[in-house]
Amino acid sequence: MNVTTRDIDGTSVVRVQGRLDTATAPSLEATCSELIASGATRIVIEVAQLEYLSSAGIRVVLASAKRMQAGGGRLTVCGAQGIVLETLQLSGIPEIIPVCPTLDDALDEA
Amino acid sequence: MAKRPPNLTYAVDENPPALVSAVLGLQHLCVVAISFVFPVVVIRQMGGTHEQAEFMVNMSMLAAGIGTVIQAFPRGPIGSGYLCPMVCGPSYLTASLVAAQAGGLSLVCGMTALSALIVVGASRIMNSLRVLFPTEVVGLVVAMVGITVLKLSVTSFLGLDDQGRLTGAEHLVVGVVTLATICILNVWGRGFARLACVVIGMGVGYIASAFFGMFTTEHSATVALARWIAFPFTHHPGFSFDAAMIVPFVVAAVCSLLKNVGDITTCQKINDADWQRTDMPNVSKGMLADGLGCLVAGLVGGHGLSGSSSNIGLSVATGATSRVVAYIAGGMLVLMAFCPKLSSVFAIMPSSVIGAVLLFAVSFMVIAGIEILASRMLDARKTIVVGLALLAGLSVDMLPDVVAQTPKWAHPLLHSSLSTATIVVIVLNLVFRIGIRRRAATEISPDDDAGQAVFEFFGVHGGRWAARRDVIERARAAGAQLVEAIRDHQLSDGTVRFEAAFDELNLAVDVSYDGRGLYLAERPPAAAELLERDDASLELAGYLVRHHSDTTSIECRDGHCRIHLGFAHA
Repeated sequence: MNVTTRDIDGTSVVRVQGRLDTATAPSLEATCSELIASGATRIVIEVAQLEYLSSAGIRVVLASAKRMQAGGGRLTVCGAQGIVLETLQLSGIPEIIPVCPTLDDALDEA
Repeated sequence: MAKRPPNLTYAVDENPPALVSAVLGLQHLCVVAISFVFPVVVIRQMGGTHEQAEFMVNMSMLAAGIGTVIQAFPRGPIGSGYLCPMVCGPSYLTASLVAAQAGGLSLVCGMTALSALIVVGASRIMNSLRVLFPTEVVGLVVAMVGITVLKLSVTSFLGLDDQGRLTGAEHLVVGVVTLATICILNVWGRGFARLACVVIGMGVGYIASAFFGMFTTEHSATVALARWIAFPFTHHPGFSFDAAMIVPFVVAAVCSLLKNVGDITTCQKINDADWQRTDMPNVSKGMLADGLGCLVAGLVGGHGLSGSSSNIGLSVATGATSRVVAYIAGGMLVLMAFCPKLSSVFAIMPSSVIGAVLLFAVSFMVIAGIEILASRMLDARKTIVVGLALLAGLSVDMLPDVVAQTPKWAHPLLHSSLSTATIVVIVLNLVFRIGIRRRAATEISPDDDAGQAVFEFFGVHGGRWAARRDVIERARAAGAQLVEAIRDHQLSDGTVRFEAAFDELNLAVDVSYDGRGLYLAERPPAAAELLERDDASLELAGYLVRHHSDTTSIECRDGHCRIHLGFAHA
């Protein structure tokens, strides 16, 4: 999995590529933790190029969102397609975390 | 739950305003009306009367109206719930022509009803029949439905006599004018002119025919004397059956079935932005409605019916897939069935106009079949199956003298290029399935990255098997999630054996290991619980495995577990 971070108008955009599962989830968790520790209040996780999302990956996304909310911040997921979008929906994630079709939508939402 | 596509103006569950619904219904009626050429052709070829043509067109309208309404039923065991109007099916044309010439209208009615029962029966076991109808077989049959009426279309279009000689330049002129009008409006027309190009073209053809004096006083009298309102059931010819007609009508039913799978699948796609795969239970319900509509046609004296691909195209073009439109179009058809004045206009249709409309419809049918064929990579096996069946079918049309010399028992099989190609492609497809099943296996040790191992496995074998990308995507998601759950939740601390078998119709994955079983939950835990309960994560894993797969089963005995995941591929 490849995780890259950039800043767009004060929002931290974390782009995740490849697989987000048990083996790779700690990398995303570490990235989000660093951003939260550095004071980020708006994080967008962009998953347009994610091929696979497992229950372990979902747990990390949820945990990061919860930590953001606890600090008054907000975490948004965007760009999910195919099996990744299906997994997010099956898990009930959109009921807790905003899930946007595109990065532009997510930046507006954030 | 289907996601509403943003490009639709009126989605399947939405109700357009009354006036809009009426206009949309009328447009669908115009497209459906094209197919009323077929009963006219049948009556003409058997040397029937205008009254018989009128009756058959009326009854086809009645059955098409009923079929269109029940197809749109959103609940219950019948109907796909979609706007998929029924029309006189081109698949039934050849069989009806043969039956009409052999035993008159009563034989057409009896055999149409019989073939409809085959469709009804097949709708109940559709999943088991998938082995007979892979995509390339569907594509060939759809193309052959068009090719088989080519001779009739060209003969009518050119106004040829029984010896194949031109009977007059005016026939050719009327045919060309009609076809040119239809094509010009279809390609360059806009709005209603484009949507109603065939009806307008037919109108122009009628005017041109009148200009050349092709209508006799008898024709004029037929229309003038026809009543506006009538209940024509007393003209019913009764029913008869002939064993020699079973093959052509079974072939017609099979062609109709194959086309119906494609039609309902298209409806599912255009009504769900998140569509991923064919909903077979929904297809079965749609096919049942299709069969019942055709059964009504056979019983009341109409032409065999099937779903209309052209109307589905119209729904896409107009952005209106509301089932309310189906109810209105169906209602209009039923009302028209009791208006002989209108059906008599179809009954006197000049042969050149019929030929032009047939050529237009046939060209779309043939290309639709070729597109379906081209959607699959054709390896040597599929090329032989499709190629030999295509050549066998064409040979029947090209070498009629050879067919005439075959034994009498073979005539039902060889009576048309459609029946010959259909039988040959189904038989060859079954024969060449021998040895088609391919297998692969790998072992995933506790030290391996489970997700990586499963992805690499499908990366190698999915490509080698030329399996569909979306099926491989689901199989590797389910497989990776399963092995990951076994590792993360210590269901096993040993090696996991991962096996897959692929036979073009199904991808079967078997995961076996020593340890505890995984509960494949039917419902997911609440998302908020995932951080509160450790077992909630395991429940979610089991739920995802179950949902990503089409079928699942688990067997644990004496500390050894085997989990089976099935994925439909056809």
